[in-house]
Amino acid sequence: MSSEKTPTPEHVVDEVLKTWPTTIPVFIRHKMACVGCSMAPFETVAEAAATYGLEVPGFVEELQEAAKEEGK
Amino acid sequence: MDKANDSGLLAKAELFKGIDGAAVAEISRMASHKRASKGEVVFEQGDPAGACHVLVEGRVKVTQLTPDGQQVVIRFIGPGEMFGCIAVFVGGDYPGTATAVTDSQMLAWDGRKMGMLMERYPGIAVNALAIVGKRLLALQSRYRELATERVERRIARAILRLARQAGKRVEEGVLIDFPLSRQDVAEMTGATLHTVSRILSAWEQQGLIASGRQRITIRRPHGLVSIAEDL
Repeated sequence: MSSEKTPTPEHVVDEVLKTWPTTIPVFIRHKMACVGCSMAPFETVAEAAATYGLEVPGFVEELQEAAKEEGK
Repeated sequence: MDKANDSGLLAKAELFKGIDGAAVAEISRMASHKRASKGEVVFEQGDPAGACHVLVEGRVKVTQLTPDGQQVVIRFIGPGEMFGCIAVFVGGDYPGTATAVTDSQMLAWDGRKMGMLMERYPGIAVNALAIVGKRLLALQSRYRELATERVERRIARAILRLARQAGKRVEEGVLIDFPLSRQDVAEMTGATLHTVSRILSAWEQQGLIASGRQRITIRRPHGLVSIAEDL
Protein backbone atom coordinates (compact mmCIF):
# COMPACT_ATOMS: atom_id res chain seq x y z
CA MET A 1 0.00 0.00 0.00
CA SER A 2 1.12 3.50 -0.75
CA SER A 3 1.94 5.91 2.04
CA GLU A 4 1.20 8.88 -0.22
CA LYS A 5 -1.99 10.64 0.64
CA THR A 6 -3.33 11.37 -2.80
CA PRO A 7 -3.11 9.95 -6.34
CA THR A 8 -0.55 11.56 -8.66
CA PRO A 9 0.15 11.18 -12.42
CA GLU A 10 3.19 9.02 -11.54
CA HIS A 11 1.22 6.49 -9.52
CA VAL A 12 0.77 3.07 -11.07
CA VAL A 13 -2.90 2.53 -11.94
CA ASP A 14 -3.12 -0.74 -9.98
CA GLU A 15 -1.81 0.97 -6.85
CA VAL A 16 -4.37 3.77 -7.16
CA LEU A 17 -7.20 1.25 -7.55
CA LYS A 18 -6.03 -0.75 -4.52
CA THR A 19 -5.20 2.18 -2.26
CA TRP A 20 -8.26 4.24 -3.10
CA PRO A 21 -11.06 1.95 -4.30
CA THR A 22 -13.35 4.99 -4.33
CA THR A 23 -11.56 6.04 -7.54
CA ILE A 24 -13.00 3.02 -9.41
CA PRO A 25 -16.12 4.93 -10.56
CA VAL A 26 -13.86 7.63 -12.08
CA PHE A 27 -12.21 5.06 -14.36
CA ILE A 28 -15.57 3.56 -15.25
CA ARG A 29 -17.10 6.98 -15.93
CA HIS A 30 -14.39 7.60 -18.53
CA LYS A 31 -15.08 4.16 -20.06
CA MET A 32 -11.55 3.04 -19.15
CA ALA A 33 -10.83 -0.69 -18.94
CA CYS A 34 -8.27 -0.27 -16.13
CA VAL A 35 -10.33 -1.88 -13.37
CA GLY A 36 -9.31 -5.55 -13.28
CA CYS A 37 -6.96 -5.11 -16.25
CA SER A 38 -3.84 -7.28 -16.31
CA MET A 39 -1.78 -4.29 -17.47
CA ALA A 40 -2.83 -2.03 -14.57
CA PRO A 41 0.31 -2.95 -12.56
CA PHE A 42 2.49 -1.63 -15.38
CA GLU A 43 0.90 1.66 -16.46
CA THR A 44 0.95 5.00 -14.69
CA VAL A 45 -2.09 7.24 -14.31
CA ALA A 46 -0.57 9.66 -16.83
CA GLU A 47 -0.02 6.89 -19.39
CA ALA A 48 -3.53 5.53 -18.95
CA ALA A 49 -5.04 9.00 -19.34
CA ALA A 50 -2.99 9.63 -22.48
CA THR A 51 -4.10 6.29 -23.93
CA TYR A 52 -7.72 7.35 -23.60
CA GLY A 53 -7.05 10.86 -24.86
CA LEU A 54 -7.83 12.47 -21.51
CA GLU A 55 -6.19 15.61 -20.24
CA VAL A 56 -3.88 14.45 -17.42
CA PRO A 57 -4.30 17.30 -14.83
CA GLY A 58 -8.08 17.19 -15.03
CA PHE A 59 -8.19 13.43 -14.74
CA VAL A 60 -5.81 13.41 -11.76
CA GLU A 61 -7.97 16.03 -10.07
CA GLU A 62 -11.00 13.78 -10.46
CA LEU A 63 -9.05 10.88 -8.94
CA GLN A 64 -7.93 13.07 -6.05
CA GLU A 65 -11.50 14.19 -5.37
CA ALA A 66 -12.68 10.57 -5.38
CA ALA A 67 -9.75 9.44 -3.19
CA LYS A 68 -10.90 11.86 -0.46
CA GLU A 69 -13.98 9.66 -0.03
CA GLU A 70 -11.75 6.76 1.02
CA GLY A 71 -12.01 5.98 4.71
CA LYS A 72 -14.94 8.31 5.30
CA MET B 1 22.08 -23.35 -2.29
CA ASP B 2 22.16 -22.03 1.21
CA LYS B 3 19.52 -23.61 3.45
CA ALA B 4 18.76 -20.58 5.60
CA ASN B 5 18.13 -18.63 2.42
CA ASP B 6 15.83 -21.39 1.15
CA SER B 7 13.42 -20.97 4.06
CA GLY B 8 13.10 -17.28 3.23
CA LEU B 9 12.22 -18.10 -0.35
CA LEU B 10 9.91 -20.94 0.67
CA ALA B 11 7.97 -18.72 3.05
CA LYS B 12 6.99 -16.69 -0.02
CA ALA B 13 5.99 -19.77 -2.04
CA GLU B 14 2.26 -20.04 -2.67
CA LEU B 15 2.19 -23.63 -1.31
CA PHE B 16 3.55 -22.52 2.07
CA LYS B 17 1.68 -19.25 2.50
CA GLY B 18 0.73 -18.67 6.14
CA ILE B 19 2.92 -21.52 7.44
CA ASP B 20 5.05 -20.30 10.38
CA GLY B 21 8.79 -19.78 10.08
CA ALA B 22 9.93 -22.76 12.19
CA ALA B 23 7.74 -25.10 10.16
CA VAL B 24 9.02 -23.66 6.89
CA ALA B 25 12.58 -24.26 8.08
CA GLU B 26 11.68 -27.91 8.80
CA ILE B 27 9.96 -28.22 5.38
CA SER B 28 13.06 -26.80 3.73
CA ARG B 29 15.32 -29.30 5.53
CA MET B 30 13.21 -32.17 4.22
CA ALA B 31 13.52 -31.03 0.59
CA SER B 32 15.95 -32.27 -1.98
CA HIS B 33 17.66 -29.53 -3.95
CA LYS B 34 17.83 -29.60 -7.71
CA ARG B 35 19.33 -27.42 -10.38
CA ALA B 36 18.52 -27.44 -14.07
CA SER B 37 20.41 -25.50 -16.71
CA LYS B 38 18.60 -23.75 -19.52
CA GLY B 39 17.07 -26.41 -21.78
CA GLU B 40 17.47 -29.23 -19.26
CA VAL B 41 14.51 -31.53 -18.54
CA VAL B 42 13.45 -31.70 -14.87
CA PHE B 43 11.03 -34.59 -15.34
CA GLU B 44 9.51 -36.27 -18.33
CA GLN B 45 5.92 -37.01 -19.31
CA GLY B 46 5.12 -40.64 -18.49
CA ASP B 47 7.75 -40.95 -15.75
CA PRO B 48 6.37 -42.15 -12.40
CA ALA B 49 5.44 -38.97 -10.49
CA GLY B 50 8.16 -39.06 -7.88
CA ALA B 51 8.20 -35.58 -6.40
CA CYS B 52 6.32 -32.35 -5.88
CA HIS B 53 8.47 -29.35 -6.90
CA VAL B 54 8.60 -25.69 -5.94
CA LEU B 55 10.60 -23.39 -8.20
CA VAL B 56 12.98 -21.18 -6.24
CA GLU B 57 14.66 -19.37 -9.11
CA GLY B 58 14.40 -19.31 -12.90
CA ARG B 59 11.54 -20.41 -15.15
CA VAL B 60 10.19 -23.79 -16.14
CA LYS B 61 7.92 -24.73 -19.04
CA VAL B 62 5.43 -27.58 -18.62
CA THR B 63 4.46 -29.18 -21.92
CA GLN B 64 2.46 -32.16 -23.11
CA LEU B 65 3.16 -34.22 -26.18
CA THR B 66 0.36 -35.84 -28.20
CA PRO B 67 0.81 -39.42 -29.49
CA ASP B 68 1.52 -38.03 -32.98
CA GLY B 69 4.24 -35.74 -31.68
CA GLN B 70 2.47 -32.38 -31.44
CA GLN B 71 3.47 -30.36 -28.40
CA VAL B 72 1.30 -28.02 -26.31
CA VAL B 73 2.44 -25.64 -23.58
CA ILE B 74 0.39 -26.22 -20.43
CA ARG B 75 1.97 -23.51 -18.30
CA PHE B 76 5.07 -21.47 -17.57
CA ILE B 77 6.12 -21.76 -13.92
CA GLY B 78 7.70 -18.76 -12.15
CA PRO B 79 9.59 -18.50 -8.84
CA GLY B 80 7.48 -19.52 -5.84
CA GLU B 81 5.11 -21.65 -7.92
CA MET B 82 4.65 -25.41 -7.56
CA PHE B 83 4.85 -27.89 -10.42
CA GLY B 84 4.73 -31.64 -10.86
CA CYS B 85 2.57 -31.78 -7.74
CA ILE B 86 -0.85 -32.67 -9.04
CA ALA B 87 0.46 -36.00 -10.36
CA VAL B 88 1.95 -36.68 -6.94
CA PHE B 89 -1.37 -35.88 -5.21
CA VAL B 90 -3.31 -38.04 -7.67
CA GLY B 91 -0.73 -40.81 -7.96
CA GLY B 92 0.56 -42.22 -11.23
CA ASP B 93 2.76 -40.71 -13.91
CA TYR B 94 3.70 -37.11 -14.70
CA PRO B 95 1.19 -35.94 -17.31
CA GLY B 96 3.70 -33.51 -18.81
CA THR B 97 7.36 -32.69 -19.23
CA ALA B 98 9.02 -29.88 -17.25
CA THR B 99 11.92 -28.13 -18.96
CA ALA B 100 14.01 -25.24 -17.61
CA VAL B 101 13.78 -22.24 -19.95
CA THR B 102 16.36 -20.32 -17.93
CA ASP B 103 18.88 -21.67 -15.41
CA SER B 104 16.67 -22.78 -12.53
CA GLN B 105 16.78 -23.99 -8.96
CA MET B 106 14.04 -25.93 -7.25
CA LEU B 107 13.16 -27.90 -4.15
CA ALA B 108 11.40 -31.24 -4.31
CA TRP B 109 9.58 -33.53 -1.87
CA ASP B 110 8.56 -37.10 -2.63
CA GLY B 111 4.91 -38.11 -2.22
CA ARG B 112 5.45 -39.69 1.20
CA LYS B 113 7.15 -36.59 2.63
CA MET B 114 4.59 -34.23 1.12
CA GLY B 115 1.75 -36.37 2.54
CA MET B 116 3.37 -36.25 5.96
CA LEU B 117 3.86 -32.47 5.76
CA MET B 118 0.22 -31.95 4.78
CA GLU B 119 -0.94 -34.00 7.76
CA ARG B 120 1.30 -32.07 10.11
CA TYR B 121 0.53 -28.66 8.57
CA PRO B 122 -2.99 -28.76 7.06
CA GLY B 123 -2.43 -25.20 5.80
CA ILE B 124 -0.30 -26.70 3.03
CA ALA B 125 -3.23 -28.83 1.84
CA VAL B 126 -5.53 -25.79 1.91
CA ASN B 127 -2.98 -23.79 -0.12
CA ALA B 128 -2.61 -26.67 -2.58
CA LEU B 129 -6.38 -26.75 -3.07
CA ALA B 130 -6.42 -23.01 -3.81
CA ILE B 131 -3.57 -23.37 -6.30
CA VAL B 132 -5.17 -26.35 -8.04
CA GLY B 133 -8.47 -24.44 -8.14
CA LYS B 134 -6.82 -21.37 -9.71
CA ARG B 135 -5.10 -23.51 -12.32
CA LEU B 136 -8.38 -25.24 -13.13
CA LEU B 137 -10.08 -21.86 -13.62
CA ALA B 138 -7.23 -20.72 -15.86
CA LEU B 139 -7.49 -23.86 -17.96
CA GLN B 140 -11.27 -23.44 -18.18
CA SER B 141 -10.74 -19.92 -19.54
CA ARG B 142 -8.23 -21.21 -22.07
CA TYR B 143 -10.58 -24.01 -23.07
CA ARG B 144 -13.41 -21.53 -23.60
CA GLU B 145 -11.10 -19.27 -25.64
CA LEU B 146 -9.98 -22.22 -27.75
CA ALA B 147 -13.56 -23.28 -28.40
CA THR B 148 -15.04 -19.88 -29.13
CA GLU B 149 -12.53 -17.14 -29.83
CA ARG B 150 -10.67 -15.83 -32.84
CA VAL B 151 -7.00 -16.62 -32.85
CA GLU B 152 -5.97 -12.93 -32.47
CA ARG B 153 -7.79 -12.75 -29.14
CA ARG B 154 -6.27 -16.00 -27.93
CA ILE B 155 -2.77 -14.81 -28.74
CA ALA B 156 -3.35 -11.40 -27.14
CA ARG B 157 -4.71 -13.05 -23.99
CA ALA B 158 -1.80 -15.49 -23.81
CA ILE B 159 0.71 -12.65 -24.04
CA LEU B 160 -1.13 -10.59 -21.42
CA ARG B 161 -1.21 -13.59 -19.04
CA LEU B 162 2.53 -14.03 -19.43
CA ALA B 163 3.04 -10.31 -18.84
CA ARG B 164 1.01 -10.48 -15.65
CA GLN B 165 3.09 -13.44 -14.46
CA ALA B 166 6.53 -12.36 -15.63
CA GLY B 167 6.20 -8.77 -16.85
CA LYS B 168 8.86 -6.19 -16.11
CA ARG B 169 8.40 -2.48 -16.67
CA VAL B 170 11.08 -1.20 -19.05
CA GLU B 171 11.59 2.04 -20.96
CA GLU B 172 9.85 0.73 -24.12
CA GLY B 173 6.90 -0.89 -22.36
CA VAL B 174 6.31 -4.18 -20.54
CA LEU B 175 8.91 -6.87 -21.16
CA ILE B 176 8.07 -10.56 -20.73
CA ASP B 177 11.24 -11.42 -18.93
CA PHE B 178 12.16 -14.89 -20.16
CA PRO B 179 12.92 -16.55 -23.51
CA LEU B 180 9.65 -16.98 -25.38
CA SER B 181 9.62 -18.21 -28.98
CA ARG B 182 6.84 -17.86 -31.53
CA GLN B 183 6.61 -21.64 -31.38
CA ASP B 184 5.88 -21.37 -27.62
CA VAL B 185 3.08 -18.90 -28.33
CA ALA B 186 1.69 -21.28 -30.97
CA GLU B 187 1.77 -24.17 -28.52
CA MET B 188 -0.02 -22.09 -25.89
CA THR B 189 -2.84 -20.97 -28.15
CA GLY B 190 -3.54 -23.92 -30.42
CA ALA B 191 -2.51 -21.85 -33.43
CA THR B 192 0.00 -22.76 -36.10
CA LEU B 193 3.46 -21.21 -36.08
CA HIS B 194 2.61 -19.60 -39.41
CA THR B 195 -0.46 -17.87 -37.94
CA VAL B 196 1.40 -16.70 -34.83
CA SER B 197 4.21 -15.29 -36.97
CA ARG B 198 1.78 -13.48 -39.23
CA ILE B 199 -0.15 -11.95 -36.30
CA LEU B 200 2.91 -10.99 -34.24
CA SER B 201 4.57 -9.42 -37.29
CA ALA B 202 1.42 -7.38 -37.96
CA TRP B 203 1.31 -6.24 -34.32
CA GLU B 204 4.97 -5.35 -34.51
CA GLN B 205 4.31 -3.18 -37.57
CA GLN B 206 1.44 -1.49 -35.76
CA GLY B 207 3.79 -0.74 -32.85
CA LEU B 208 1.79 -2.85 -30.37
CA ILE B 209 4.70 -5.11 -29.52
CA ALA B 210 8.40 -5.46 -30.21
CA SER B 211 10.10 -8.80 -30.44
CA GLY B 212 13.56 -10.13 -30.97
CA ARG B 213 16.01 -12.62 -29.51
CA GLN B 214 13.15 -14.67 -28.04
CA ARG B 215 11.87 -11.74 -26.01
CA ILE B 216 8.53 -9.97 -26.42
CA THR B 217 7.91 -6.43 -25.18
CA ILE B 218 4.41 -5.00 -25.10
CA ARG B 219 4.83 -1.44 -26.33
CA ARG B 220 1.18 -0.39 -26.21
CA PRO B 221 -0.47 -2.38 -23.42
CA HIS B 222 -3.85 -0.84 -24.04
CA GLY B 223 -3.75 -1.83 -27.71
CA LEU B 224 -3.22 -5.44 -26.77
CA VAL B 225 -5.90 -5.32 -24.07
CA SER B 226 -8.31 -3.92 -26.69
CA ILE B 227 -7.72 -6.98 -28.87
CA ALA B 228 -7.87 -9.42 -25.94
CA GLU B 229 -11.09 -7.96 -24.55
CA ASP B 230 -12.61 -6.99 -27.88
CA LEU B 231 -12.98 -3.38 -26.65
